[in-house]
Amino acid sequence: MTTRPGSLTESYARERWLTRLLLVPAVAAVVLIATLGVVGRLFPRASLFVVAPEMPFEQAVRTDKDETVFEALRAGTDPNRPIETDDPRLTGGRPLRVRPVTLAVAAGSEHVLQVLLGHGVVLDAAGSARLQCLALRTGRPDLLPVLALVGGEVARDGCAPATGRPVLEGAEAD
Amino acid sequence: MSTFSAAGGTADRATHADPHSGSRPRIHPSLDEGTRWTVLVLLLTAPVWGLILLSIWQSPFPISEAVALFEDAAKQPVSHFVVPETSYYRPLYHLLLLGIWHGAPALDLKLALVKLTHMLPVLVLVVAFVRHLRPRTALDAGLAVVAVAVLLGSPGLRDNLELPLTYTAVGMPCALLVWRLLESERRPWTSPAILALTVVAVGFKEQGLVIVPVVILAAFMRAPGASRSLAAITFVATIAYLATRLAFRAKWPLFEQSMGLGFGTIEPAEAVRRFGSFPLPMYAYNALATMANVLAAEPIGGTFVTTRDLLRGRPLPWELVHAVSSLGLTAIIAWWGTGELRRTWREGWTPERRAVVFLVFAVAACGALSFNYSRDRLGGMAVPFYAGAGFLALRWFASWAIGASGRAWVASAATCLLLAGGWELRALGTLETVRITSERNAREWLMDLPKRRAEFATRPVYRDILESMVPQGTRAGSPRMLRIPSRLQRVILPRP
Repeated sequence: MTTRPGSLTESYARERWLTRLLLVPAVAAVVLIATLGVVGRLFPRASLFVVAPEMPFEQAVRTDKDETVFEALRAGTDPNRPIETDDPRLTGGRPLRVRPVTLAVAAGSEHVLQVLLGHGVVLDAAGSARLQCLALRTGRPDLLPVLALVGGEVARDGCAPATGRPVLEGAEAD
Repeated sequence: MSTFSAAGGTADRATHADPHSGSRPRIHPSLDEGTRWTVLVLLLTAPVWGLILLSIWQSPFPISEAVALFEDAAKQPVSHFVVPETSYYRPLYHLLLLGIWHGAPALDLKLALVKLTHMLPVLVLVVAFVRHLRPRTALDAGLAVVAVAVLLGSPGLRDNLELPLTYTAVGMPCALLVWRLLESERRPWTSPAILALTVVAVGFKEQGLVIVPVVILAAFMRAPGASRSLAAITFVATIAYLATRLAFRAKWPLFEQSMGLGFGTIEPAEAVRRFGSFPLPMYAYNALATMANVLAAEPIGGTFVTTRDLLRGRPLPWELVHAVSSLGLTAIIAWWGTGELRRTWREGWTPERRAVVFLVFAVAACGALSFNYSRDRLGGMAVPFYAGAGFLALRWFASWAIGASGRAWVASAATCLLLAGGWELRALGTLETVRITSERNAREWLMDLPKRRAEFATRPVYRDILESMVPQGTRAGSPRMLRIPSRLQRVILPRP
C-alpha cells in the first residue's frame, strides 16, 4: 500500500512503528528476566548464578582470601568439615586433615577466621582455648579477642610452649 | 481521572511541522481505554518493579546501620526523636520504627513491617505514577512504559532503596500524590490531604520540603486542586518550621559528610580548611551538583566521574548509557518545556505547562536542600516530576516525529528507541543494584559479626538485637547479583 507523506494512513503507520520501537526494550527486558528466572530454577548451579571458585577452599583459608571463602560457604561448603593441607610451613609438607578454623588460626588468616566464626563454625570453650594457644604459638595474639568471644580468654601460661614441630601437628588433639 | 488528557498532551498529537503549534483531534480518542492501557503498562513493567520489591523483601538488613537504628528505637524515648537539635531531623521515620519495635510482638514481624514500610511507598509510587499518566492509546502506553523506566532507573530512586532507610522512599510518592491532587478537581478533603502528605514527606526527611514550592506555585498557576489559602498555610507553616530548625543551627557542623569536588572528593575537615571562612561557593557547588545529577546523571555525588573517564579515553559503558539517556531526555524536556511556557502567555496554564514549572522548582529545591553535600538520593524528590515531564515531552516529541519529513522521522524514531533502550537498561541497573546491596548486606553479616560482637560488648540492647538478627543476616538464598558476562554487567550496572 502506498501512502502520501503526512496522510492519516501514514500517521497511523508511523504511530504503530513508534509504539513498537518504544516497547521493544521493555519487552526485551521482560524476556531476559523471564529467561533468567526459568534458567535459574532449572539449573541453579549454572555458571550464570554461581561464581567459579578462584582457588581451592584450603588455599583460600590459608592465604586469607575472605571473599573466596565467603563464596564457598554461600555455595554450601561445610565450615566444620576437615580439609587437607600440606603447607610446608604449617605441616612440614606432610598432608594433614584439620578443620578450616584451625588452619585459619595457624596461617594467621584473620579475615577468613572472622568469616568462619560468623558462618556457623561449631566451637566450644575447650576448642576456643586450644585455638587461642595455637594463635599464641604462631605469634598472632591479635586473634585472641575474636576467639575469646567463645569461652573467654585463655590463661597464657596454660598453653604448651612451642616445640619446634610444624604448628598444625597435633593442633587438634585433645 | 486523567491529569494530562484534558488540555494539550495527546490532543496535540498531529502531523504538523512546527512542534509547538496548534492541535488536531486525537488519533485514538477512546476515553474508555484508559484503565485497560494503565493495567497493560503496569503488567509490562511489573517484572522489573516487582523484582525490585521482591529483592527488597528477601534482602537481609545491613549490619552496619540497621542494628543501631533499631537500638535507638528500642531504648530511646519519643522526645529524643522529636526535638530538632541535630542536623538530621526525621521524627516520623524514627517514630514509625519506634512504634513497630514496641508494637510488634516478634522480631520476624518487626523486621517484616520495617521492610513493608519501604516496599509499600515504592509500590504506591509506581502505581500512582502510571495512573497519573493514564495512557489512552497504544502509543501513550509505550511512552508510559518508558516513563516508568525513567522513574525506576533514575539515580534519585535507585539510591533510596537501601533497607531500612525509608526516608525519601516515603517522600517521593507523597510528592506524586500531591501533584495528582493539585491537578484534580478540588474537594473538601483536598487541602487537608495535601497538607498531611507534605507533613509526612517532611517528617520522614527534610527533602520533603520540595513539595512546598509545588503547592504554592500551583495556586498561582490556577491548578484545580490548589487554593490561595492552602498556599498561604503551607508558606506560613514552612517559615515556622524553618525558623525552629535554624534556631538549633549553632550545633550543626559546617560540613556533615565527604563531598565530591571536581574529579575527586574532599572530607569535611578539608572542606572546613578550604571553605570554612566562606562556605557559600561549596554549598552552591553541592546544590548545582545534585540538580545536574537529576538532569544529566553527572556529577555523581559531586564528582565528575563520567567526564573524568571520558577525558581519560576510558568511559565505562554504563556511564555512556546514563549520560546519553539523561541528556537526551532532558534536552527533549527542555525543548518541549520552553515551547509550552512560551505559549502560556497567550493561552494560559494547562497541566502540561504546570508540570514544566513543577519540575524546574522541584529540581531547584532538591539542589537547595542538598547544599551541605551532594548525593544521588538527594535528588529523589524531583524524580516523579522528571519522569512525569519526560512522559509529556516524549509524547510531544512522538507527535512531532509522526508528522516529520523522511529523514527527521527516521532520526526521531531512532532517538525514541535509543532513549527507551537506555532507560530500560538503567531500570535493570536499579534491580541489580538492589541485589548487590542484598549481597553486600549478607557478606557484612558473615564477615563483620565477630568484630561487631566484640566492639559492642558493652551495649546490651545492641548486642541483643544483633544476636536476634543473625539468622536473617546469614540465611542462605538472599538475592544476589546475576553472574552475567562482565561486558553486559558493565553496561547495566552503575558502579560509581
